[in-house]
Amino acid sequence: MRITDNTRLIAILRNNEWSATRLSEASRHASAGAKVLAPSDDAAAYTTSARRGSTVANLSSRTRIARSAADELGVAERALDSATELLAEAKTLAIQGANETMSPNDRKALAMRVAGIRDQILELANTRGAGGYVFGGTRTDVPPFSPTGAFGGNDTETRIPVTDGVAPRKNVSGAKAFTAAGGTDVFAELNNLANALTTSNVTAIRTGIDTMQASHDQVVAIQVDAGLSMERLRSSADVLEAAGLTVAQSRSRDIGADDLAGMATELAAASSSYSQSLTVTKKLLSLPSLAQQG
Amino acid sequence: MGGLFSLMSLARDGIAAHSAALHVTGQNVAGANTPGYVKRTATLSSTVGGGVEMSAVARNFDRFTYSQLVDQSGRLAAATARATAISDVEVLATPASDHIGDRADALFDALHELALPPSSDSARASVLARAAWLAAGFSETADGLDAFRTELGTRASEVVGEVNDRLASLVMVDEGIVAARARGEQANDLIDTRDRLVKEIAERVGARAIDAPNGGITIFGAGTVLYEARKPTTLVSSLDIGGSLRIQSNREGVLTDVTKAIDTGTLAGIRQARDVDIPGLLDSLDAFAKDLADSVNAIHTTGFGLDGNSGRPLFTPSATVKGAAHAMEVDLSVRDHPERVAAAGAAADVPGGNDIAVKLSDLARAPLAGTGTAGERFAAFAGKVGVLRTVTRSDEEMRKDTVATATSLREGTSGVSTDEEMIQLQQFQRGFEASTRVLRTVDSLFDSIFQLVR
Repeated sequence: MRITDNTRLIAILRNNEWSATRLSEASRHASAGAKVLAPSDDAAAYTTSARRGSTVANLSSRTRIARSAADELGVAERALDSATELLAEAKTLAIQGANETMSPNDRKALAMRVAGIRDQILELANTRGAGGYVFGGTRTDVPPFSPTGAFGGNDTETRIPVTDGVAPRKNVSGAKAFTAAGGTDVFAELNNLANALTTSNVTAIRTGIDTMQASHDQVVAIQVDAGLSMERLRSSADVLEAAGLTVAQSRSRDIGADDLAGMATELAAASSSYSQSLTVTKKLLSLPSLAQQG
Repeated sequence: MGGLFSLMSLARDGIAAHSAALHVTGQNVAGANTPGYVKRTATLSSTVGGGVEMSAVARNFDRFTYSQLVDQSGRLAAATARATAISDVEVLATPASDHIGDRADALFDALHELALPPSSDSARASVLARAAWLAAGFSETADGLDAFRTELGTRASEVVGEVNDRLASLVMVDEGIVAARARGEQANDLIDTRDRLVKEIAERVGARAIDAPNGGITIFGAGTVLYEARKPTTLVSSLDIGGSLRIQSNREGVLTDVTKAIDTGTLAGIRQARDVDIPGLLDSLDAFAKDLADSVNAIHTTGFGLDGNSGRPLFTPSATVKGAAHAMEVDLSVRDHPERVAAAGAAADVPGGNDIAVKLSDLARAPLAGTGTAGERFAAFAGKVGVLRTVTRSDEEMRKDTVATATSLREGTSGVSTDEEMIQLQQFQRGFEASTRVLRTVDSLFDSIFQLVR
């Protein structure tokens, strides 16, 4: 084929364009640290990466919520722990009051302490967390227990789904912990014990020993449930976090973010190719011509 | 004496012929880089008296390579117009961050947050803000795609105007060529101009030229006769009732729809992107928006807000799939009312009930009303954009290569080689110098004869 100046120029321009495009792409990928930045870089990889990105976001969200729910349960669990200690103290006071050598005045002093314990437990039963009152069921906006100990909340469970089929309870049943729904009405029994101590009714005081033990056991049972839910949430959060990391790593592989060496190599090769192309261009443009011979 | 006069005449003819040939060479050198310029070759031939004359200036024109170049240029123009449009679409539809997929994830994250403290004002406000952000993502993307379509429509009108201008310019040029041919003259410059115009028309709407016996041409393109016998067809651009581009040919007052016959040139690329590719993406986006909004609404309407009321959608329901993305917005019944976001499954569970918030957040992993989760639907949409961009870019690259090849082939027959012209220059210069030497010799001989006579 006959070769003219423009034939050479066309080939040069086409090669330069190709080299410049390759260098531009390699620079873009290397500076961003990923081979797939847009769908057109690799539609299949981008699609997989987008799906995995959504999964990572979802896992991250669930991890965070599971940890928050566990923290919220921790607030309730600590309140129940304090309540069990107070109920144990009330039982001790009942045992002391049941001693027939104790004077009525001493029993009245014990009654005042039992009344104080009742008020403290009432305060604990109206504990507030980040989402409102923690023992009111779904009635989180008002104190679940009135000053008389009457329960105004409900026993509706709320759950947080963390993984498929796993949805630990995120609230604690105040009804089962402190009211007759759990078997013993804690506040009524504390009132009964205080009254028995005030009136020096030894028989009633002895009954109070048993009811304080029952109240204690009732609160402990709910505390254990709360602790278990808390642990389930925390262990689920750990599993979710690990799963999220694995998916995130897969995603990095999808978009080539794990191949920094490959990107650096391609950038070097593209840079070299572009330099070579320019060198060849320069040589071709400076080829001797009869027009330069004078 | 007669012999000397004859010799003088031969020298004069030689000077004239080589001077003209030098002019042709100079013209070639000057036109070497002019688009469409075809190398000329001076033909020197003997005269009856034994002298020389430049009998013709031939254009080194090859119909096959020229037709290939015109055809491939039209295909490249179509591929470039489509690839450029789709490149812009990719940037709009799948930005590096905060794309629709990210926004859907953000909404589900806010719904997760709502499930933890359903009575939280900030969690509720966050749900509304993220829902509005997602809706804006859909509507802005749909608006952007519509705006692209409008821009492409405007560009198509401009291209139609450019085609009409060139067809009009062709009349004078073609007339000049026919007239010159009738006078027995060559009109190489005009033919160069005409070929350039034909190529420019082909790049815009696709064209094929057929030579007429009188030197004129007939141009076929867009499924019709674009030019014949110095009568150009006018193209008219408009939109049909469906909003698609419509190109009509107006030949002597008769309007014919030629839209579907335009398969190469910039107009074909614009039409493919505007009326096939972008509407296809808009359909996917609309279906995604409607399925997502319907799925969210189906759950949200069953839930109860802090005010104990139910039956409110989160997104304004769209009656049709078409336009769902464009129309997507947070429903007026909940807009600016975070307390109306439904988180509880029963009025009695307000404010701490989170059944609905949990169900809504679970949508992140559940198939929407159509198929696939929100993340999968966005991935599929982005994949569609990516494949389209890859295909159009590959097509453009392939066309660039074929045009480069066609241009090289055309250069091989019709291009100017500076070195060849330099050789020709020296050849004709020497011929010119030799002729002047003959003339000087004759002049000297005449001097000798005149001195003898004295």
